[in-house]
Amino acid sequence: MKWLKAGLAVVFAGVLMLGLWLPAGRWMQTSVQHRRLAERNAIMPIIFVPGSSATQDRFDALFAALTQAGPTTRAQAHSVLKVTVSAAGKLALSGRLRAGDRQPFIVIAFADNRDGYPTIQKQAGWLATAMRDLQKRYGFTHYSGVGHSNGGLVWTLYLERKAPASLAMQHLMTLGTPFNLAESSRQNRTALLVDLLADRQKLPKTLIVDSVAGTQTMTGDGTVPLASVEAGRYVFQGQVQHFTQTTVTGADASHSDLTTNPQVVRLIQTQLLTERR
Amino acid sequence: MMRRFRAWRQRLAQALVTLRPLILVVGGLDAIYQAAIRRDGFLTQLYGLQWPLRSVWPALDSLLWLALSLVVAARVATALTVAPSAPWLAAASQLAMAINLRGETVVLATSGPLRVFMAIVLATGWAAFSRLPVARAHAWSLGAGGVFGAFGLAQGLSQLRFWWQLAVPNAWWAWLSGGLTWLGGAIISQPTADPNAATNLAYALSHQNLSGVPRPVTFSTVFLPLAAMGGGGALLALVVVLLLKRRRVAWGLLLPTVVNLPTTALLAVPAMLNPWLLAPMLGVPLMIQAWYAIALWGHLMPPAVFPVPATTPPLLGAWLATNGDWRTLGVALVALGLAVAGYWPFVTRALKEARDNEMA
Repeated sequence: MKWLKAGLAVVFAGVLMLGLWLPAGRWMQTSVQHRRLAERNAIMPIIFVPGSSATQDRFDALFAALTQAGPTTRAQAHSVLKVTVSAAGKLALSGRLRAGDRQPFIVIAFADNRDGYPTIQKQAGWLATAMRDLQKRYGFTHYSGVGHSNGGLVWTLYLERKAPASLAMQHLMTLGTPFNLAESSRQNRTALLVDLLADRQKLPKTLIVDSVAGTQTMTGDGTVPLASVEAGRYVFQGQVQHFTQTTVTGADASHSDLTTNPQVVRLIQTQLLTERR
Repeated sequence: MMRRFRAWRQRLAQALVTLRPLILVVGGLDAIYQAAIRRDGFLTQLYGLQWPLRSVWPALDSLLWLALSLVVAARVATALTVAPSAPWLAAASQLAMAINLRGETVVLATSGPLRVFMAIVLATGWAAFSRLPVARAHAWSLGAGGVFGAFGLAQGLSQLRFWWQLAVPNAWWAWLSGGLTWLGGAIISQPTADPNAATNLAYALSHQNLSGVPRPVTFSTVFLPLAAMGGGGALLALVVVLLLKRRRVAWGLLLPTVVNLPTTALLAVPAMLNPWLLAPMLGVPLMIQAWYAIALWGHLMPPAVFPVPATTPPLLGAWLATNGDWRTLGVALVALGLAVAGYWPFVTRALKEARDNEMA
């Protein structure tokens, strides 16, 4: 009887081991492996927003310059996805993200690309629509942003009014962004600047911001007054983690040339293209 | 006052003992539902089980508890008073609490096991009522309102348990959880909402070695899924002690307690409101939490960082939460030993008291 009981106990322990413990161990290992893989494959895109009158092709020359200056093999080059948001909020995508590319480039442009504060406000809403869609599609949680001209205003409005907490912008670089529109006097604050200042507490505290100004003359880049770019200081300084204001000069420092200015290309390379998580 | 409480508790315990077979059946079926049918159940996840009629099962489980609570209400009321109307009133009001006009279950009775607890409160109330003159009945109804209010508040707070955890350190949370378990409302919570758990998991996913985890000693690395063996109050240790003392009821309690559902043990032993068991329910989880903290500080085991389903059996859960580290199993076995040793003298006294009562 005693032997029978001991035998039964051994059989019971064996069944438990084979039926529960072993599969449980294997199940956990597989699920941890999957989670690790997902973590390793998480992408951190750099998202570009062009200024008024510009299309989704606005940054092509910049991408070519970055590829030339950076890794040469095709496998290492950054893949590019272009998105144009229609006035109804519909997305048209072209290009695709390559698997294994951890820092792809995404351009978000708008079908309605007229100049002026009312359009910029609408564009911030379209940007939010596009970001929601892209996040759902590619599952990223961190990204960096580049905005040329009014594109920088669209980003700032988006960060202040629309950005969800689940999506963290790490670094924002604005190129020739007129935070006080065409106003060259510090004393006159446009409605846009007043609004940006009113909501500046909502900017993410961990964000790093670089504002680049171009100067063709002593007072501006030919389109945007230097004082208007420098007004960005009032929006970001003391609100975000770091705020840097850079002024580039020389041959390619006019407003529309800023995206291919060699100094700007180098800045993007050193500030945005090194993986930091 | 004390004598009246003791007399009440004894009658309650006797009533529950007569319902033991029913309680064990309901507890066992509930354990199967929680662990093997629910989508987040341990066995469902492990074997990838698929069940038809997904929406029907929760209702069936809820119905099971409702039926048990009706029987408990009637039985406890019968045990407490000779008034023939009391059991009917208790069962009827219990039923009324489960249904309301908007077609939703009343907040107070949402969780199955808590329904049984409410049945006991209601039965006591009706039994007391049936013996009272009208003036004192009014006083009692005010008192009962207070009890309901306090219970509703506790329930509401337990919904916010995540915030509680942030506000109260681990040790206090273990006390609170153990104390509420003793009262009959077993509260246990998931580690997923713990921000420290998320920080640890993020680290663990990007590093192979767990030794540098940023928050080695936190709620999710010492309380869940480690110190809460068998749910709040570490009731698995109680069941192990009863097994070692060759109590037949322990075999029936094994299944629900192993998947961390303490209610069956609370009702069938009955462990709830047993004065001898208050100290171990409060003390044992604290003791084993301290042991896990020492083990983590001394690097005897890596921190438990990977989330496991709430119904994962305790020792297995500890092993899985460290992705199969055998040292953790050793530490967890010692913890179970400590818990059993902590419960032993108190269970001995409680059993002796129960035997004396039977003889008297």
